[in-house]
Amino acid sequence: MSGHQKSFWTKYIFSTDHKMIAKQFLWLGMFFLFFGGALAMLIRWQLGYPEQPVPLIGNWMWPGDGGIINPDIYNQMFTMHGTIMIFWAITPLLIGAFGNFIIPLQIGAGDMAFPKLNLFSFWTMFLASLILLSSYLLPTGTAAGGWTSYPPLSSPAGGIPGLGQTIWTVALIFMGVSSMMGAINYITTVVRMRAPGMDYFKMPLSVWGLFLTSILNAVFVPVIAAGLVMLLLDQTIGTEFFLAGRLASGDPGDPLLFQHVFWIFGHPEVYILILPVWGIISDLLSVFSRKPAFGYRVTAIAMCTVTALSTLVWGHHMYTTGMSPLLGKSFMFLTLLISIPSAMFFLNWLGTMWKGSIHFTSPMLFSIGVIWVFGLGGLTGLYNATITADIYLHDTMFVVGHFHYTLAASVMFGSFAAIYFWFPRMFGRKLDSRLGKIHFWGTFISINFVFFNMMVLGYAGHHRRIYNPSEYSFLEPLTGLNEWISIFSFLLGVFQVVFLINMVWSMFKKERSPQNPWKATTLEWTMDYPIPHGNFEETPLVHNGPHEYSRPDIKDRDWLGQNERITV
Amino acid sequence: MPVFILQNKDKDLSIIGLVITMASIVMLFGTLISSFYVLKIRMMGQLTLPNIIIQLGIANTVILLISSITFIFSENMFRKNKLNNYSFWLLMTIFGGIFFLIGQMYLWNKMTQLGIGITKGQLSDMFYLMSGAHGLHIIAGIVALIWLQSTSKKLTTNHRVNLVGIFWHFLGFLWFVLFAVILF
Ligand SMILES: [Cu+2]
Repeated sequence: MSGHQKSFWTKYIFSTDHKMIAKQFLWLGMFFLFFGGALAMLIRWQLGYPEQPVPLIGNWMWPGDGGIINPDIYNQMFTMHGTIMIFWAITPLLIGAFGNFIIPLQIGAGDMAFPKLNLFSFWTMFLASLILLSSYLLPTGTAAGGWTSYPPLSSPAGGIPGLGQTIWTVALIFMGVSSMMGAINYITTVVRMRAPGMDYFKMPLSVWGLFLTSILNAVFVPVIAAGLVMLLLDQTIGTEFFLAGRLASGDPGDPLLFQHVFWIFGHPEVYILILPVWGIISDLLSVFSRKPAFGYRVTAIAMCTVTALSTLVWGHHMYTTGMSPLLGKSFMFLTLLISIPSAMFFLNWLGTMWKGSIHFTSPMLFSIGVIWVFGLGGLTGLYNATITADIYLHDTMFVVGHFHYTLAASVMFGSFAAIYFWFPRMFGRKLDSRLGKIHFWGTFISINFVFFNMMVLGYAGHHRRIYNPSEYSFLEPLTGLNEWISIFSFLLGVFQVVFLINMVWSMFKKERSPQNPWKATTLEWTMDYPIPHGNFEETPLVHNGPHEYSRPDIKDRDWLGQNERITV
Repeated sequence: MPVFILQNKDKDLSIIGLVITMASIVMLFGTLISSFYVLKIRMMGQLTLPNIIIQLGIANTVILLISSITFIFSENMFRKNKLNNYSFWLLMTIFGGIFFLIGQMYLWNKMTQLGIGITKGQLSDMFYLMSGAHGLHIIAGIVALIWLQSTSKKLTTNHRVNLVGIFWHFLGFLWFVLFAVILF
């Protein structure tokens, strides 16, 4: 199979090798991460320095407005920022790149179950990206109805003019198809292609996280697909599924129906994004504390519990829609219930580090960073989940701060931890650890400043989608804070450039990484770089769990690979 | 030589892949069905279809049912290694699928003629959407059947026949459910 020569096209472009597809997803995700990040900084410019010309690029981008971001462009920006970061940056980075890269390697499989489907999954995603970006060419601009695209805002009858919103819908449908193909592949691979001896409870927690994510993807992406198809018909051929009242011509449709469909998918979606991070850092904390993961089984089962509960709580996004108080209270109760399993694995992370011999490498720093930011994000979630508090906090910057702690900060830190950790396996070199430390501390300080103070803004009543805060007298005392948040968000951007430089520079440096630089136990470290097509010389036999560190019965080293037997 | 632990010809792999796919399809149509009921409750109305439409719908349902039965015949013939009969019944199944699609198109036409065209009401629009989405899946099913027909000479085991069969029966059952939702 590996013997025959491959052309450039089959090796790098239309590859069916999961490791190459992982790299394709990695670059796609990185591109959109920086794209979405640039949008974020422009949004922050407008909020920090309202209606002042954007320095450097303003006059070139919007000459008609004198370099000022006008309200319409502003709406397009936050819409595309949300959409791109969630569906085009985090999803390809964590699920596309690391899902593809580590699932087969860590469970001892030669490739994904359906390599061709994997290929289609990436290229469908690529097509979806082109469709999404094409809306920038429209004279009326991109979608502007927010990442949630609630009708009637997202329908031409009552909202955003032009084709942008329709293109957004089509792009998202294609993206969903891609996710579903990935999910089918991942689930089948985990269920059927584990190496002999690799029981479910011997799988690394990273695989657990990605596996649960895939299940949620397979079940809930079709839900939003159905909703998006209905929305698309509303936008194009003139059905009125989501139009009500004055906007509807005949029988009334129901805009709230879209909100339900959206959040039935949308709440699991946040777990789709965070579950891989939980899994990955559970493993990494163990590697760099040189201790078995504390309560491995409890962590795995708690993650399953969260997955199950996450399907029942979507209503907490809709407390202010006038739902029945009884229903609201049920959603509140179920949502608060999630804090129990979350607290379990949270404490397990601390337990893993407790009295460990902690190595403060770059991936470890980012993993510890996740504990901090996810802790804050999770705790502030309780306020949003409580109806009485949420009625005040709903749609304020508090919510923005909260979900950026849980999603943006946690998921970014998790992705960075994963990239620093697996870079030697992907590109044969280690990322520079000094630049890594600069990247970590710069990111950590600025990200906390930005998102913590967003919650302060929200608590003071700053609505999340207003264009110009200086137009409201009650927000005047917050002008200084808004400005500082913007300054720190630009800093945050600058420190990501350090990371990009590190990545590109390390990829081409001469010095090769040792085969197993972190002395990790899992199967992906057992072969030489570059990992051949087909991964394993022969099927590995798994004897141990994934976290055999510092075993007292082994004298010469502090770890035991999953495929090794004890030799005393 | 690297060893591929399991090839994707492995039967269990495809079965699991198919089960997940079908679960996704169930969620897709489940959402459409729920939306249908939400809209129905919202407008406190009914979708009253003319008798001729209901009769056409029943006729199409019967065609799809027959195509499932012919598939069972063809599967039996494959098991008995009577490849010519197998091909014949498989062809009948493909025709059944195509007839069903033509029947659905005729039904849509008739509905439009009777004044219940697209965008004439929420519930009838949901009917168009559900039957249209189902029709797209039927096209996928027909493609699978044709693929089976064209590769049947090379088949050594019956599991590919099984897989396509499961999918085809599933689509038939799905239509049955959708039609029942529309009617009641
Ligand atoms: Cu939620």
